[in-house]
Amino acid sequence: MSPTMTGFVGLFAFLVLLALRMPIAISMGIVGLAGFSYLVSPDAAYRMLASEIYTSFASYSLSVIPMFTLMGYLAYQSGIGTRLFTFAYKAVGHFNGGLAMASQVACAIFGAVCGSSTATTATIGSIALPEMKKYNYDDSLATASVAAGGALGILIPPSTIFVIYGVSTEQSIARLFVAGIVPGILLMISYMLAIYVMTKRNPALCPRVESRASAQEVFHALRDGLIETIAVFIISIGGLFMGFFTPTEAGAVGAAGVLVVTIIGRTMTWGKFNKALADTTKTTAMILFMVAGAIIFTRFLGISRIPSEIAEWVGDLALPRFFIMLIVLLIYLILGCLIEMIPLILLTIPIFYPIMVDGLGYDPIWFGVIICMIVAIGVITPPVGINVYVVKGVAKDVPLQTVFRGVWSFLIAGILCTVLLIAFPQIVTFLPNLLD
Amino acid sequence: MDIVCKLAGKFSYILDFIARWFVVALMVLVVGNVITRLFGSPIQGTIEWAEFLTAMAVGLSLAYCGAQGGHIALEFFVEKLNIKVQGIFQSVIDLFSLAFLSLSSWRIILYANDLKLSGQVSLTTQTPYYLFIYVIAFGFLAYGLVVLGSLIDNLRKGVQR
Repeated sequence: MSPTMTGFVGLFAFLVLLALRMPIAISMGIVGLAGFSYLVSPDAAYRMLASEIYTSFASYSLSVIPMFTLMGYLAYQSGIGTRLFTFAYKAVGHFNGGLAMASQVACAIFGAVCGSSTATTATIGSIALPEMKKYNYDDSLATASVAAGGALGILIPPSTIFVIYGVSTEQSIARLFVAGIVPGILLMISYMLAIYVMTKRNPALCPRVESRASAQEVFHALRDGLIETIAVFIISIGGLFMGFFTPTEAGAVGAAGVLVVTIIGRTMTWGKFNKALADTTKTTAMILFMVAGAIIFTRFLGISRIPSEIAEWVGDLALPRFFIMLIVLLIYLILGCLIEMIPLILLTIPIFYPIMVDGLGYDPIWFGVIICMIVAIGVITPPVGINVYVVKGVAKDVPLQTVFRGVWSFLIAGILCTVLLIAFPQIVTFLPNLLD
Repeated sequence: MDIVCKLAGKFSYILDFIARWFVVALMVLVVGNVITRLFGSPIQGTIEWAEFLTAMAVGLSLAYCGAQGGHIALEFFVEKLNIKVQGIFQSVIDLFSLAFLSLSSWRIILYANDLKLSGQVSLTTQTPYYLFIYVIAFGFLAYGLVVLGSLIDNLRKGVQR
C-alpha cells in the first residue's frame, strides 16, 4: 500500500474510533502509532511515541496552559462574575435587551480574565439567566445570548486556542493575543447589535427597559471589587505585550495576582482554592494529552505525505486564492459544528496551515484569528455547539431546541463579522504590527 | 462497583492531589523568578524546572481526568444506540485504550532507561531527565488502571443484563 493510501486508511480508522466514543487523544495516539509502525518500523514508532509524549508534557511553551487555566478558575471560584455582571448592567442595562447586552459585556471581560469559553458561559449564565427570567425575557434570547457571549473569550486574550495555534504553527503567542483584541471587541459589538435589532423588531422578547444609570453608579459598580482584578489582568497581559513576561510568566503572575486579590478580598476559601486547582489539573491533562496525541498523529500524517499531496493538489487547482480560502473556511465551519474546538485546531492545522500560509501566502496571525472566529461561531452551532450544552446545564427547564432557535441571529452576526475581517485584514494585523 | 474501579478512583485522586501541588509549585517558581529577575538575580534553571513540574503535573493528573470523564470524546453517534450496544462498544474501546496505555507506559519506561544509561541531564541544573519520565510512565499506568476498572465494570453489568 502506498504511503498516501495508508494515510487515508489511517484517517478512516481514526474517524471510526472517534465515532465509537474513544477519547480523541487515545484515538490519535493509536492510529498515529500503528501508521508510523507500518510506514517506518515498529521500533522507530515506539521511540517516537515515548519521546513525543515526554516532549509534549515537558514543554515550556505549553506550561502557559496550566497557568492561564489556574488564573481563570481562581477568578471563577472567587465570584468575580457577579460583580462583573452588576457593572455591565449599570453600563448598558438601559438599552433594549439591556440584560442580554450586559451579559455580552460581562462575558467579554470575564473571558479576558478566564480564557475558557465553557467556564465563561457557565459563570455568566448562572448569574444572568435568573435575572433575565425574573424580568420575563424570552428564554430563547436569554440562553442564546449567554451561549454566544461565552465564546468571546476565544478571541480576547488570554485564549487557550491561540496558545495551541501558536505552539502548533510556531507563531508568537503575544502577537496572537494582541491580534485577537479588536476582533473580540468587534464580535461583542456585533452580538449586542444583534440583540438590539431582535428586541427592536419584537419588543415582547424583553418586556422591561431600565432607566439609565448615572456615571457615578457605573464607577461605583466598577470600584466594588473589580478594579483590583482588572489591574491584575492589565499587569499580566500588559507585561506580555510589552515583552516583559513570557506567556508562562504572564499566566503565573496573573494566577498569583488573582489569588492574592481574592485572599485579601476574603472571597477565596480553602475549598474554592482546591476546586480551582482540581479543575486546572483536569483541564491541563485533557489538553496536553490531546496535544501529545495530535503530535503522534501528525508525525504519521507527515510520513504518509497527505498534507503535502493536498497542498500540491490545491496548488494545481486553477482557482483564485480567495475562493480556496472560502472553501477552507467552509470546511472549518462544518467541522466546527461536529468537533470540539481544541481537537479541531490540533487536527486541521497541520493540513490547512501549509496550504493557506506557505502556499497561498496569507498572514499566519490573520489566519489564526479567522480560525478562532470560526471556532467561536462553531461553539454555538448544532449538533456539537458546546456552549449551548453548557447553557442548557444552567437553564435546565429550557429545551435544547429553544436555545438553538435563538442562536441563529448570533450566527449571522458572527458570520458578518468574519466577512468584515476577511475584507479588511488590517483590522486584525494593525495591532500586532504595532508590537514590531 | 467493582473493587478495581474503586481502587483506581482513589489511587487516581491521590495522584491528582499531588499534581495540584506541582501546579502551585510551578506558579511560585515562575513568579519567584520574575521577582528575583527584577533585582538582577533570576532563579537558575527556571525554564528546566517549569518543564519538569508541568510534565509531572500532567502525568499524575491523566488518570483522575480519565476517571472523571475529562478526556474529550465524541458522544453524538454512540448515544443514539441502545444501552446494550453502547456497553459492547464501550468494552471494545476500553480494551483498545488499555492496550495503548499499557504499551505507552512500557515504552516510556524503556525510553527513561535509555536516558538513564546514557546519563542525559538538563543543561543548567544537571537534573537527570529520566526521573520525570518515570513519573509520566507511572501516570499512564494509573490511567490504564482506571480504564481496566471501567472495562471490568462494563463487562459485569453486561453479564448481569
